[in-house]
Amino acid sequence: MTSPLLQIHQLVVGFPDRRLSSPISLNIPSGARLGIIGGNGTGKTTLMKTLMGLLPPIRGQVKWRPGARLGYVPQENQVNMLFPIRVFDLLKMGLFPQLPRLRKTNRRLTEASHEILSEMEIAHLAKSLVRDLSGGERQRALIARAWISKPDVLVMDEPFNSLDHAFKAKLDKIFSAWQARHELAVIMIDHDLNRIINQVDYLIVLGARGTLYGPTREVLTPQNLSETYGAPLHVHEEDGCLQVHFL
Amino acid sequence: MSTKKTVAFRYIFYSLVTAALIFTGYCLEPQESRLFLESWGLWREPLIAGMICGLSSALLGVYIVLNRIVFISLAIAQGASFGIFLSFFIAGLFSVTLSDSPVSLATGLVVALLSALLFAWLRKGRRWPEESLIGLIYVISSGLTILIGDRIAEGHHNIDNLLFGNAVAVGPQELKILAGITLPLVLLHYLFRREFLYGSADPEFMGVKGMNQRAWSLLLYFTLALGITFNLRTLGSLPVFALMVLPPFIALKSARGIREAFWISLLLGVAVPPLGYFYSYLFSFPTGASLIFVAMIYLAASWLETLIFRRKKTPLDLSTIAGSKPST
Repeated sequence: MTSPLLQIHQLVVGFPDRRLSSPISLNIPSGARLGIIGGNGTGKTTLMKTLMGLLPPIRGQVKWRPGARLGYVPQENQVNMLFPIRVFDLLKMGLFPQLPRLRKTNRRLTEASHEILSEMEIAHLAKSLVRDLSGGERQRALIARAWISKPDVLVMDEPFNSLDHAFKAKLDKIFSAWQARHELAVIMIDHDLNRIINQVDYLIVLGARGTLYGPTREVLTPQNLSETYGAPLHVHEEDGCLQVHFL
Repeated sequence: MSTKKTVAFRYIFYSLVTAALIFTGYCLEPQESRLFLESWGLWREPLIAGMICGLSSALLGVYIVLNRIVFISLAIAQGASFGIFLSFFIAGLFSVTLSDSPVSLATGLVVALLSALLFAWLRKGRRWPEESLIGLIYVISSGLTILIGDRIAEGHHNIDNLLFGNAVAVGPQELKILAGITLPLVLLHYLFRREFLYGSADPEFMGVKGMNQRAWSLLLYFTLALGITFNLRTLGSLPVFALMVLPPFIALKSARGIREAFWISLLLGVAVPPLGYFYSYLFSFPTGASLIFVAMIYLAASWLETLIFRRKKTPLDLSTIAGSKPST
């Protein structure tokens, strides 16, 4: 039996002067999907960054399986736009530190870049500057950057922002295909409740009254969600999918 | 147009500007120009030293422009100044004469490094705007320098030479030291170009990729302090500042790739100092001011370049170079 990909033990996130969660304990196996939901300002991004090791926890532990590789899609573009970085160069960031030290690039990189950019339908933009792209094109480039190294975990903070409906549907299928082929684990923040609750196996719900976590169907009760978002709502099942309606 | 062709065109353009500057100087002062060439032996070391300083300044300048910390070179130079003054002050307390001793340079370098590291450390918290931190370091260093300046017994002439260099008095020994510092620095930047670039462009993403962002950031500032302190001695504070800003600014203005930006910046960094010395000789300009004047000619030419090549306009807001937050 393989060890969990991610072990969270009594984790409390936040800042020295402000706690944003109660203790969380959860084990995530390989290939599982973890969703993080909550209202604005409840600490979703802070939790995600703490899981990735970018922020220290207030208390508790986050333990990744040794050698686990992360791919990260941030909430919004954080690449300094003053840099004249082309889309192809952006993908090279995703392959760091596998890049050759002395050479500019190699055939494997070029082929991998072309493949992933084609999946994202932006292969024609490989030589374009990132700052010249539209919001949606930039988001696709950031997803490509996260995926190009074939990580074990894809950590995505609202990845569907700026994308049109048609591509959102296509991206859902792409993620599913990646998961099936590569046993990819996903950690995702998404404001679209109806999408995220039907895609993830585990859920962490951050709210003013506390933190809930566990398998999605156990956590997802109308009372829990209503307390989290501070509004009455109704949860029902339709064609095998959970649907949330705020009243 | 492919990036290679673009770089080639820009290289040709700025080479033509360089040729035009030489030709103009010759036309205006043919006799002085001939004398300048005939006395090449007198100018050899200063010219080569100027080109070496220009190379490292233009290279490091790309990072300070992209990181929006253009005044860091002035702040670090002021830190170095304070360090040198401090060494003379302490020596004076023990009745020791430092003159051209390397102790004072070493002290200046240490304080410059500490200034850079202090800036890097304060910047990490991201609580304060960069320009405020730079201003803080500059003001504190300046104030302390003035406080102890009056109390230094040794001649200020010796201190000025250490601080601001004497651009035309570089000898073979100083040239060797400068080359010995600059060439490893340039090599370091080449070998770890991705760490420095990617870490500056998106530090959070690179942190997720396992890069020790703090260590690489500190190393970058270390190289900045090292380059600035040694270049300061050869060219002076203002010319070093100009070389760290103008060539990268020109290169980045219409760059369609990061490699292009570096190559053009390096070309200009190497071309400006010798031309500055040339014009200084022809028209008896102060060397530093002449160097800045030549850099400004290249800047004017860059706008002509934009018109000629009709570069596609990008949303790049060059006013952010001074230190405002980027718009994304």
